[in-house]
Amino acid sequence: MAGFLLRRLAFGVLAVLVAASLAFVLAWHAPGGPAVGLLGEQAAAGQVEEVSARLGLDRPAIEVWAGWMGRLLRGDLGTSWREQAPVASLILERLPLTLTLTAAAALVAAIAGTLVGVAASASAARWPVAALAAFHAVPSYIVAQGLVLVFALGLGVLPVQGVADARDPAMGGVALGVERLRYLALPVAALALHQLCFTALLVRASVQEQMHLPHVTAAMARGRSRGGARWHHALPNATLPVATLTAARIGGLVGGALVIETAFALPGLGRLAVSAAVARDHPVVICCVVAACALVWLANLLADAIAPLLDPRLREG
Amino acid sequence: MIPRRTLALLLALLCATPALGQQRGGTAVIAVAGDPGHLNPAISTAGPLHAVAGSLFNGLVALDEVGGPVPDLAESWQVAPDGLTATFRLRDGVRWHDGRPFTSEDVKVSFEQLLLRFHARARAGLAPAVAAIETPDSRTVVFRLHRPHPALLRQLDVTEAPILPAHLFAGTDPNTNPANQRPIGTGPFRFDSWRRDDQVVLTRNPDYFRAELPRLDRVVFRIIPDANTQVNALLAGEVDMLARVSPPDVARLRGRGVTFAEMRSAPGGSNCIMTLGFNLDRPATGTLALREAFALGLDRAQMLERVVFGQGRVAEAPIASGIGWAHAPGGLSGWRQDVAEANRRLDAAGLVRGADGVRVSLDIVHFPAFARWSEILRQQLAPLGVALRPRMMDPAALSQAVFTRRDFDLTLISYCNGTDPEIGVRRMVHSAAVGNVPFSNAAGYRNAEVDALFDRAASLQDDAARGEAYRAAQAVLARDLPYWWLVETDFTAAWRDDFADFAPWSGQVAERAWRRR
Amino acid sequence: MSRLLAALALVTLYLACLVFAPVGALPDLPRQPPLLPPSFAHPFGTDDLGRDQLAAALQGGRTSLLVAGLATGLALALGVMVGLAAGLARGVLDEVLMRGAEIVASLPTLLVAVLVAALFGGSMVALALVIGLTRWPLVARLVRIETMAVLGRTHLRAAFALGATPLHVARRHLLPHLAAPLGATAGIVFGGAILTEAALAFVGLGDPAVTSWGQMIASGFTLLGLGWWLWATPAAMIVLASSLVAAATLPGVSVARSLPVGQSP
Repeated sequence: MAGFLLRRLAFGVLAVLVAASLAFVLAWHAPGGPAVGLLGEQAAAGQVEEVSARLGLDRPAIEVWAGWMGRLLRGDLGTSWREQAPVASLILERLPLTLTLTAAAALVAAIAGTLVGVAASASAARWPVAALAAFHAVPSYIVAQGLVLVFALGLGVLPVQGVADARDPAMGGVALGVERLRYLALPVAALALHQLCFTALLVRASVQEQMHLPHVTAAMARGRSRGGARWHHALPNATLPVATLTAARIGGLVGGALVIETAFALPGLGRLAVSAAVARDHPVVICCVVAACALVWLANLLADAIAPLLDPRLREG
Repeated sequence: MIPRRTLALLLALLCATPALGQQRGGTAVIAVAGDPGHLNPAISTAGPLHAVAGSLFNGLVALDEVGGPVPDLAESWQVAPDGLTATFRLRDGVRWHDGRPFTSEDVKVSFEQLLLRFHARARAGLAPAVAAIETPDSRTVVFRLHRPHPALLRQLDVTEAPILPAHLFAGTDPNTNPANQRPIGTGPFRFDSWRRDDQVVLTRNPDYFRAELPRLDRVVFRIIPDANTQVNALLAGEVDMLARVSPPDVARLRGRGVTFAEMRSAPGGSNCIMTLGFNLDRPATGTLALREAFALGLDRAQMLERVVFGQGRVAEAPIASGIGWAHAPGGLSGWRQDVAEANRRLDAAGLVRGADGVRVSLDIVHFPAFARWSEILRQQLAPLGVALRPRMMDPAALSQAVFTRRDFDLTLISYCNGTDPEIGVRRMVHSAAVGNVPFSNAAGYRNAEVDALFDRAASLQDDAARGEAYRAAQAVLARDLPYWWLVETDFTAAWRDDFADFAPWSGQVAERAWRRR
Repeated sequence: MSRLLAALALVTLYLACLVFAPVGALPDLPRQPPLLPPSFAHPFGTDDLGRDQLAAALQGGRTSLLVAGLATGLALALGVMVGLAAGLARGVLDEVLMRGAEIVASLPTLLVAVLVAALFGGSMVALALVIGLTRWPLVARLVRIETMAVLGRTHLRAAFALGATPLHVARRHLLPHLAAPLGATAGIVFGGAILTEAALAFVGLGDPAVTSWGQMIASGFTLLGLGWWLWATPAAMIVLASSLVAAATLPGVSVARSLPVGQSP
């Protein structure tokens, strides 16, 4: 198992380098350079050329790319052009938030989605499916706006935006934890809803399928109630797909977090990527892709590692 | 029509506020749309940077609400009769936030090593005129000029020429100086902390040279990219002020305990005119009759009403009405809307309609944010047989397409005139400003007469005489039509009624603000 | 059967957008005041420039559905080719193709789409390409697994022994097995593409030159104080279309078979 994970890790590094090269090619060929991002919209004669020379953009692309890959392999992510800070620190600043957001949304979606799915599988009615399908199709920022209207502006119980009260950020211990929960509740809910409905739809279909399989029929023959059989015999076999599904859609959540970060003004990785791309801050653009890719990769690794715990059939290997 | 509070009315209200009601203390949270990136306002003209940095620094002068210079770091100044020297007497007892005294050396280093080399507008507007900066003593700065430069005083405020500390910047590379991340200024507020894309926190400078100011203890700039989120946050009380409110959002906020300030100026841009630029190097847009047809065919009143919901004015002349002494009232009134006449001129010019009714198809390059402008243009141009193909791109791509590659027929740009035509108008019409310079002479317009008039206006001392030259130049521009000036757009800021005296038209947005209890 | 009904409704919606939406620019209603709420004459109201919102919604539907269709088609074509090749060839080629698929699959579609749009400007074609080019691994894995499973069966070995060509085998024996899970995957890609387009427009990186549902919602959100129908009508269209897609493709398909079950070797 350890050898397997190690091999996967090594391959992951290769994948990340490929992704970084792809990002480099995109950034290099994008119209416009970093001058506008660095100087402001206006410039004086000669300034555009000075910026290019200072950043080494007048050298051949292959040379710049090779320099990049070399530095990435040594673990040096470079320095942001616009923010004049090491890219590694810029990304590390943002990573905890994006990680929390995606992980929390993935967990909420997996757990709540499973429960809703099993509950929905008990009914033969079509409306739960229709409702799930409809909610699954609402763009997340509309969900966000709706949640804000109800819980923040309507009931006044949760904040509209941000990660902390701008006026009174000094806080510690339990209070800080509670505060963080309050600030993240709506973003996590808005991000999770799509995935939650999707999981529920699939769990429902899967459980209904399982209910006709011999081991469930046998359990009911032994005197299990229909509900008991559903939860104790049909559900466990549906959990492995949910886990792999959740891992497979981490990428979707990392991307979706970008929208939620914008809607709730959260300082996450997605917003860093967008503002860097607009400013043509190539070092940051490339490393944001690297970070997102690594995140997805680790999530899959994690799923591979826990799959045997969920499915006895995978345990012997 | 949206009822408007004009600046004048607002000022009257502000002046009427009894001084005894003003209290000290409290925190104001101001929403801005983008992260500043870094906090060195002397090497960039980016809007989000200046929105925050204005409160940390000062200029030699400040500008009042109509763009006139008033004392800031300089307590007085004198321009020699020949216009070739300007002598500034600096305020005594000013200290940097780290306790060091402010001296004339700071001014010299700021200009020579930062502003004249890296600040786009200072480099383009001031550098060619300044021969030397001398510091006879620690409280005197003398600008020696190659030629008279009457716009000088309007180019020395905290947005156009912020003064940075020499003891941190002299002899360093300003593009990597750590003080860009932890700025030290002389301004009303000190830098406290900054979480990128989240918020910048400033605290009251207890040693500020205006002893009674600032009144607030803290100012927090919250970075909120989405306009809806900004409005929601203001309504929920999480944010106290929005630096920029779009016209439709004004409708949402009206009657919700919010004060509005509608103004022609904001840090980083004032007296802005939404302008259609014609690429004079292209055959179609190089044809005068086509440009005349635009001037005759477009309904700018409808643009004012439908695109900006009445927040602004139809552009009356090439130079904005906010620069009263240079503005030519009625300068474009020769072009009264007349679609039939527009069509006649196009016919006469040999631009005949094809089978589909289209005479000519033009591409129009602009920011995505101006999509509604180009849509209404498209609608209004259809009856003329002119078809538009919008190509929308961000500032980086647009500056390359328009100013480097010159690959466009029409471009839609919000040209901000600034407080003097030298700052924002020269760069769009002077032949010396054609070239690889972002947001300069987009049309590629070259006219010796206009060049001469602008050069003359730049060398005169007296605003009346300068205005004469600018008005003559505007008459030529109105005939040649390298651009078509659409609408002067206003900025709107909004704050909750429990605050007063924000100055959103200046860099020092919160210097005088205070909180009602 | 309700899946069929949903599919039928979807096709109808698609056709309605194709047939009834105005071609080219939207006709404006210059004599109408802008921002009319929904009425009999304008069931979806009019927008801020006085254009009929129903015509816009149909035109937006054509764009959104076309982008989604293109993206899905591309993902399916690439995925089926790669999956078949890997499943039939096995060995080194299989290994190389599947590792390649894995690398592509680790790129978050929306992030790539956003970066491409931020760097190059919003473009519907680019968006369809990005979605298609990042989502095909989903299809490839599925096709590969099914191919291997089917090839292992006795009756196929018999068919090969009797001289059947691989093409014949693929058509007669493979496709019937693949239809349902492929449909589900296509549905996921299709629905995801509609939402991706909408998300891009919200972040301000859509293609502002064309009318699309996402673009309409985004611009409706900037005019939130002026009329709810500006964003609500295109949003309703998105929900309708996406839930029809989900209803037509998702239920009844086994989770274990339709989804990328792990990247376990």
